[in-house]
Amino acid sequence: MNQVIALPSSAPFRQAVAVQNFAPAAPLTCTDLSARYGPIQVCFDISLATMPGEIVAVLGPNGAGKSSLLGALAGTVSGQGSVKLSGEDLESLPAHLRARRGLAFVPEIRGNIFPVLSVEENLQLVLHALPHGDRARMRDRVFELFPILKTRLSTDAGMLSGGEQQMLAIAMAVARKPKALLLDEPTQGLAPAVFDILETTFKSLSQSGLPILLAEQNIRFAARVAHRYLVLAGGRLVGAGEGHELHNADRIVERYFPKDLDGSEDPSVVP
Amino acid sequence: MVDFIILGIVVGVSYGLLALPLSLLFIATGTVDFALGAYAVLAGLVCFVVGGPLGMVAGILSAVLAASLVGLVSRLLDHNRRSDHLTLVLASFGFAIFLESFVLSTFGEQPYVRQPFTDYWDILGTRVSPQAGVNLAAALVVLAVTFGLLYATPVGRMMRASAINPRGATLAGIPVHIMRASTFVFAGLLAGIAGVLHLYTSGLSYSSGMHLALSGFGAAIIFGLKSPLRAFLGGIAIGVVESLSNGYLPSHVATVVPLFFIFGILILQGTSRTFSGGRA
Repeated sequence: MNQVIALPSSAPFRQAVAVQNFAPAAPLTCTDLSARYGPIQVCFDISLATMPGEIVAVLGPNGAGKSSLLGALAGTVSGQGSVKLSGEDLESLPAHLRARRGLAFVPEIRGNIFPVLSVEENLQLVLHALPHGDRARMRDRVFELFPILKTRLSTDAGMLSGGEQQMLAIAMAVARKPKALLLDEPTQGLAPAVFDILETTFKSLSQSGLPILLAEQNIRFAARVAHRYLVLAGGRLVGAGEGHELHNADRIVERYFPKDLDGSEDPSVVP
Repeated sequence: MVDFIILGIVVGVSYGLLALPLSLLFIATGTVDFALGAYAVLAGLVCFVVGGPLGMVAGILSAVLAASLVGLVSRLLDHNRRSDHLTLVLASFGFAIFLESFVLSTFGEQPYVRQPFTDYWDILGTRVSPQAGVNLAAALVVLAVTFGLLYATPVGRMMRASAINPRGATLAGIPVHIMRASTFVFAGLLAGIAGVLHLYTSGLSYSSGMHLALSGFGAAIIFGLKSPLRAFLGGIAIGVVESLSNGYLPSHVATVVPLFFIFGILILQGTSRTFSGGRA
């Protein structure tokens, strides 16, 4: 039935399946999810589940299908298969209704911000969708996570630094009071100094019970925040394991990311 | 000189009113809708036909409604071709020709005009029709409402967000397709108002649409197609240049001066930041 059965029964993989067995209690689950761009299928029968407060890193080189998987979950990429958020079926809903149901997605290169709108206007776009009583609270929460944004309210989002733009992108997703958060390569192109802020933020969100699915090529950063990891290759789930295993990044790379024919390692993976 | 400037502003207001929806649709779709002039003609003639027996208010309301509905139909054309801007521009030409044929078969060839004012104002020695004052007042109200809607309401913010970054807007929970349809309807409404004002100013015939669209386009491009306010001001600028050249230059030269003005500004856009850009 799904890709999982065809995989080798490595220890990490058995753990991934064990977690999937808790799917009824998991806020975000997908079963046999495929993604495609027109006639080209890029993800094949992927099943996963994230528990409350759990950060699951989705690893893989360029072209592995990480972004497509997150897009299929969020509804921005054509997908087939079951997607459930807190028990509610999302697969028949368009992307904007999935967002309204509580599935927040921060695409790569801060694709959810509006460069020619001010930071204040960007935040208002999402805060306005909340009930009146929640707006001030979520606004405070956002500034608690990213105090710098409070000093940039009148600045156009496009004029912010890359790190500040990423903070705004995450703030806009968090401000909606999501039930699950999808993050696509949040560290891409950012200075290492910003990593600390993102790490603190993700851990804070995790502690508040928010499940996070984190597509990431930087294994060292994933090791700092992830409770579990999954590995994608060629659009298929090829491995899984506990977050602490990521501290031995070289082993992960050696195991899951084969060298090119000329013997060089995939430059898209940062061990 | 002052009298030509006043006359230029009066003419420019009508160009600006068509440049405004052109700019809005460009921001929303990335293309130029050349059918907007035909919306204005349809609205003007509906206003004439309905307004006769049912009164001016009913005429204006039905005209604006007709133009808004045509805007919605235009959105349906856009829906299936939104990824191809060139096809959309060509489709807008086709839609303009369809509307022109529809107006010709429904309303006939004759020009329509309503001129309710018989007295004129004397402003600094220049005879100005009170209709010019009505046009200016209507333009200011339309500008205020447009900018109030776009910049001071959540709906306007969502419309702008949908135009700037449709994917980001979707992820913010905004129904982008509804926002785009609303933009088309609103642009149709604005073109309808422009059409009604033309009916009461210089009159309209079935073939006026393309001239209006090109005038609006010329107005919209000179100061930045991406900014509705600059597009409107572009209309005023062209009107004043046209009026001054008509006043001081031989007629065969005066005709081309506004076009040279547009070319000059477009060349400056390539070399200077002053005239370029605009903000959604």
